[in-house]
Amino acid sequence: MIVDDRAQLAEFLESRLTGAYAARARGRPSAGDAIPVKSYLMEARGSDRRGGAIDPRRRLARILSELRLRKQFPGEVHDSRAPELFTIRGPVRGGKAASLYLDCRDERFWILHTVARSHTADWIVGRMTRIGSGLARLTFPDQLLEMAAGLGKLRGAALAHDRRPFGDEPEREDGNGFMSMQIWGGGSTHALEALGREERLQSRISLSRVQLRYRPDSGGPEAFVLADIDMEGRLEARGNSIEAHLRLVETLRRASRRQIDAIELRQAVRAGRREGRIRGGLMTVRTARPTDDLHRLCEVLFSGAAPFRLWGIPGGGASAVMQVRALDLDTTGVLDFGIGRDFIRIGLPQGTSGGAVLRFFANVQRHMDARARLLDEDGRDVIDFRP
Amino acid sequence: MSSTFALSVVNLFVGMCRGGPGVPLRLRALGYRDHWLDGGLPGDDTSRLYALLALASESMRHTLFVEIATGPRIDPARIESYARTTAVDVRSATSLSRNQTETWGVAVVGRAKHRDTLLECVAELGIRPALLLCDRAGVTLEANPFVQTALTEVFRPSLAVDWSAVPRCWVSFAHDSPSIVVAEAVLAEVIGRFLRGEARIEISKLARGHALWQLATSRGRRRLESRIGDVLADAAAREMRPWFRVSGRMVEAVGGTDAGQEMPLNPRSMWRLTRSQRRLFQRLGKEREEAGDSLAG
Repeated sequence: MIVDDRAQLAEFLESRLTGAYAARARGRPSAGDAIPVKSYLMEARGSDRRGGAIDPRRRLARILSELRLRKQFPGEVHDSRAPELFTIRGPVRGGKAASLYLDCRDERFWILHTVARSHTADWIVGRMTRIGSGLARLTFPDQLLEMAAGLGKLRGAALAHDRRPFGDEPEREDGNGFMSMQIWGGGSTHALEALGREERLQSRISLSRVQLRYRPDSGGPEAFVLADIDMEGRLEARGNSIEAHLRLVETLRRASRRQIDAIELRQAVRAGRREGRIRGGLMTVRTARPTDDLHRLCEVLFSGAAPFRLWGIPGGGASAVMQVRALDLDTTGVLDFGIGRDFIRIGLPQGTSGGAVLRFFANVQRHMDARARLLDEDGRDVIDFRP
Repeated sequence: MSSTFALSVVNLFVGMCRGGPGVPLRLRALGYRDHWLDGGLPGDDTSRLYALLALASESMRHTLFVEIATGPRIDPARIESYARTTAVDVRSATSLSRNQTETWGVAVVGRAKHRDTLLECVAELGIRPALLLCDRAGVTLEANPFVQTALTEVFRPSLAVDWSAVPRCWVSFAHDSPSIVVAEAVLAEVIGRFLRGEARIEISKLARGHALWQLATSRGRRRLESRIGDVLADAAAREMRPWFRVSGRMVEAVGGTDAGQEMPLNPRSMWRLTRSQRRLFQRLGKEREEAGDSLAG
């Protein structure tokens, strides 16, 4: 369906969420009519030649023109009456058509909604956010997932901690390897708290997904949504209230934006001629798991491969701190790293997205040390999702 | 400012005022914060390429002007110009407060291997600047202690510094930094812009991203820009030839990048790009070793 405005989009998504759309079409309701709504939070980067924001329509056309995406999903962009709302519709691999609804009301932080199948939607979004597209998925650190969990009633959580990218350290009891588990049901909060108290697990308790039951303030006592929120900025909703889902998406978008803006405002290194100061400051990731092999750590961090997707070559020579100016392949901005035995120092040059720092820190939590903290020069936590 | 030595000193002093792992924190603990004085002080000569670095502390009621001696001697006229400056002049020419400028002094920072000549120079100066000498182990106050005992104690008997750990990101390079330092600072930015679909990049845009740009005089800016162009042209003529060329004041992508299209990047091209860059860094690193300018070793 091609939508004309946000009200029509909300109505359409709710009819798919509740199954009313299929029931209307068939003339009778049936189990399995309801389709989950998926929403993806993304960051659009880059500016035009004059330094202004790139027109979303133009950017979208460029993103969709990529050969591989075009071949599998020759989506057409349809405007709506709202200038920042687009429908992208086209056949997937020559078969059934899929529709994606892109809301660019915030010119930097976009939201894409769809009722397409998960693997189709994930694949298209993956191609849209490929390296160099100027579009990157938002990544949620643990703190944001915890904040999200507090917005409703926690119904489940997935924990995943994977140190395998760093190779084997069989001699260490808390060495590499991975740990994952899922907790579902009413006692999830207590189960998570109990796990968190176990000292031997604390460095591995990192959230990759939370499920919560969220109810909007309006819409009656029966209105709810059961939302799965994963660390890659993806929300999947079941239930009967699209209003609740859209509100949840918007809350997370705003929280991410606020945090990214704060990082850029306080930490980005830039010189102000008038005040005669270099503004900004270095951030430090403190980990409780010291690393003995800095060269190996740098190889993994700066190879350009997932999960960190940073590309750079450390300066040569044996040193207590390896310094690297690396390219963040997701946002194509540069970051300055100083890698020490028990810390990672990060400098954010002006022009690089604070989202790159957030993504790096979230990956440290999931792949190095779940207890890691991101601190400013005064030792205060940089990450703060409190409203 | 010139040479890797001067960059290391600037980054050390800025780092010590800012805090963070890898640098001693004692200056920050005394309340010192880094300030850059555009155009220097009244009566200063006009040969500066960059703003003057000053460390100012409200709690110590003191400002320290930092003059870096990259060679065996210092220009006495430049240091003596401070003698003609009053606290009122300093306040009127800068954003420093009354508290910060109640007392002020000058520190000449040089290399320990030039100890004898620098001691001679300092002894001849009427304003008796403190002489701080740097070697691989750290920084030592060699002559003329500060009026503030606490500040003197920071550098006596010696302030241990791991130069390789000092953050380089405050001022990543200057107009006469070794090529390796410039290349390490700008190449990632060049590749990033190609990835964003900029097939042609103005060199002046790369220079403007430098934190020092805002703190440089117009002469300093021209030199920064020219240095970036030279280093990129050298890289483009050799190891980075498959990736870009320099034409006038522009860097242009080659190898399948058309205007408006993002650079094709896949594991294979990434591996090739890494190999080219590694070779470039190895060659330029060797050149720096031969010049023997670095304190970090």
